[in-house]
Amino acid sequence: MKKNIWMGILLFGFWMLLTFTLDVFSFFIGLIVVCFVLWFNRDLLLNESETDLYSYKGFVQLVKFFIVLLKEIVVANIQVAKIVLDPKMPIQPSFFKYPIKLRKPLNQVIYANGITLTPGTLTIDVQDDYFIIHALTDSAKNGLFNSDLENAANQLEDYHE
Amino acid sequence: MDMIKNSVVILLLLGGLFFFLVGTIGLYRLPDVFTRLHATTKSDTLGAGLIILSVMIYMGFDIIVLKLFLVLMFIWITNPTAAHIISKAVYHNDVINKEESNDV
Repeated sequence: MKKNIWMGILLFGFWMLLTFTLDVFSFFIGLIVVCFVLWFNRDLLLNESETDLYSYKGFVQLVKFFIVLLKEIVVANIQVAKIVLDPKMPIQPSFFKYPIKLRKPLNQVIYANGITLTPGTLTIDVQDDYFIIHALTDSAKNGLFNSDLENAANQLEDYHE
Repeated sequence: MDMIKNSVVILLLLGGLFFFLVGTIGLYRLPDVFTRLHATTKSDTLGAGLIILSVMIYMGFDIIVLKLFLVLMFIWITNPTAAHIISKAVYHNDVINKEESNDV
């Protein structure tokens, strides 16, 4: 029940942001639509073990992760641009297994998407304790191990242990 | 003051266009599905980011800036998810030959 209320507040805030008016009519339309959306998606809402992100500390860690991710995206994008525009196109494509410490499904999803966003690496499959990753070059492959992004992702889970 | 703002906007726009161009060239030049996914998905993240950032600066303080930020967040969530699903489907259906795979 508690998670429904939090999600409802979030959705209603989003509605107010999109309409950005304060008249009674749009207020009530929003209320009805939020209730309907909550009922419609009752199976998809985050369950109790995944609500870490609503807590203050979890949110701070997530923001830190995104700052590291942003830096990685810019640096690595320039490297991929160099490779693509190089007339000889020096690529060494390969698949490899990448062991992960993260256990919670939500954190795994965030980290897998983070790896795909950083150029040169692409998450293909998520297993219990490893990802299958496709790397565009050997340097992209080696750059993934012990990277800043890996540390930031591990801290997503470590902070409450 | 206006000139500085406009030149920053134009620089960011050109940067965004450059990365979209790199993505398209990569799509054309790279050899197989996975490497092509690299080029198209990656340049979208930074290309769209730079272009939306330039629009944000152009608009200044406005509610639209917040909406643009949300648009960017949705792009950055859906983009890797779609790339992941495409690559997973190809990987498990053996459409390509996996000769180059060395570890898995």
